[in-house]
Amino acid sequence: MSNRFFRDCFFVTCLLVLSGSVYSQQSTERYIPIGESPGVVDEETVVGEINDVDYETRSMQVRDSEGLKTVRMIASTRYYLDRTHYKRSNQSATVQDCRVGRKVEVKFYADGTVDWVKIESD
Amino acid sequence: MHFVWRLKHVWTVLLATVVVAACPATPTVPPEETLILRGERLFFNETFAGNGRTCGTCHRAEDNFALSPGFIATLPSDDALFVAEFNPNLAENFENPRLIRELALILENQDGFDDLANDFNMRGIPHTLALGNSINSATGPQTGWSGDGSPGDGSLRSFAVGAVIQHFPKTLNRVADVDFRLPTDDELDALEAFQLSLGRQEDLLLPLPLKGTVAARGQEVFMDRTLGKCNACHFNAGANGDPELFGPTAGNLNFNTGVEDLPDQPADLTGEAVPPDDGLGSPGSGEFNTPPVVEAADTGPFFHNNSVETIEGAVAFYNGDAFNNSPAGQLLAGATGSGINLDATQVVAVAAFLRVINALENIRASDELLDRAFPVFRIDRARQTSLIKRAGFEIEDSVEVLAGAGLHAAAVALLRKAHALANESLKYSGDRRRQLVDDARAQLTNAQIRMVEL
Repeated sequence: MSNRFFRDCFFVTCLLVLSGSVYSQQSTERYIPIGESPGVVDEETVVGEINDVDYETRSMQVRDSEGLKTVRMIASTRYYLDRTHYKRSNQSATVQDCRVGRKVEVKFYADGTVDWVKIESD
Repeated sequence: MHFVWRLKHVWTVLLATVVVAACPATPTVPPEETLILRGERLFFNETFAGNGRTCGTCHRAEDNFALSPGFIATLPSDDALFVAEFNPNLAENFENPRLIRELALILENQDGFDDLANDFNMRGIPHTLALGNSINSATGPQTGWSGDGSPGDGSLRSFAVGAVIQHFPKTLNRVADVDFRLPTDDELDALEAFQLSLGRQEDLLLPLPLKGTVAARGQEVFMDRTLGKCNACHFNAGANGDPELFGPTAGNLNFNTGVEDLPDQPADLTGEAVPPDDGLGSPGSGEFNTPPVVEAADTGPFFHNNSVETIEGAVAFYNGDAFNNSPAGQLLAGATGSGINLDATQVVAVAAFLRVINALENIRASDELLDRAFPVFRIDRARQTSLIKRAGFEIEDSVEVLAGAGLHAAAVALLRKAHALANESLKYSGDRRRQLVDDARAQLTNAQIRMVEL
């Protein structure tokens, strides 16, 4: 086989490999309180209060000091219930836990879809 | 009388001023060195108000910043590594004590914490050497065995946060400021600086002008695109893909190489519960990221699950069905017309090459540590001792990886001398210590020139 074929095959596979990859830890994020996730606060997350949520379209408006931010939850979005202020263990949550008025931190991608949502428990 | 006393006093002050002015000022410690030192102290001493573990509990300086069963056997029973054995809150679903002690496998909840009894992985402890040139990829940093070991932004800086939550809690509730405290931004900066300072700061440039005939042949096999094919994914024996094949910015890559499909894995043979590890993501893709192989020979056992004990076995893995039937193996076969099929002599030659480049890295690292023990700025004796001891560990490793395969006997003898001199220097201070360390460094150079053209 030619080096070129070898190179092309690897290159295509490389693109396939890289295109589907997510490179941040999924599991321990759950236990990091709202606003304390390293390297993403103010960069890739918004911390605020849920202003509106549409469970059908899975879109949510979050109000922070700079105004309203609309984000869209997707199948891979993860939800965490932050109970740190009660000194209790954080839990997995669902989109139904996103309720108007609740404090949240939302990590979103450039296209507005959501990686994870941390919801402060009542 | 009073006047005379005053005159004397003035002269004394003037003389002292002149003497001080004439002395060369001691250079101050550079800020980056201060940050690294702070990171080192945090790495080895800071428990983050948790169960007593530190980063250094698992990433031991004496064991190449990794952990092997042989080293574990030397630890006292109250070592924090064994916290699950003596802290009732961590007795269940935190670690498997048998698998720690026998195989150096640590429990990770890579896919979440909702089903602690069933949803976990047992993984080895990767070393933290050469991270600066091993974890960067086109899509961002890849940390841990599957490239997803870090929360937040996924960076090395954030890694400690995930590690504290996973490995340091007092209870499995894992409540911040109850079961542990999260590292501060300053601490993360220092920990990152320390980790980046460890090991090689740049990749090798293969081929090296090796003097050993078997290792030199092993290097040829390693680099041959029709034979060993190793250099495609371990470019220059590092952790990155060959830029000619994968593009100039590909960096570190993830592959499913079929390690999980190996038969008779030691952990499985124990009969303990060891769920399949699906690698990157959740659910996982089956992929794990490529480790550098310069540091491989002295950091076994090998692969994410410590399934192979020897470097020869690790090379031979790529001959077997598990690899050749895996997605990565199939890709390689499709691209090159065949899988990997080395004969025993070729397996041993590649392993000899890996042993020799590991030993050369040990020599480089130990020489650098000995050099750093005598900086231009002031250094306290304890710090100097620590650096010399770390150099000693590196020299010891170089002896083990070479002698373990009967390689470079003359160099091994010189390395043993270097080790003895470095150890001897620990008994002294000042010029005597300096002289012994200089002698040790000379022996390191003598050993090096027996292995490679300089």
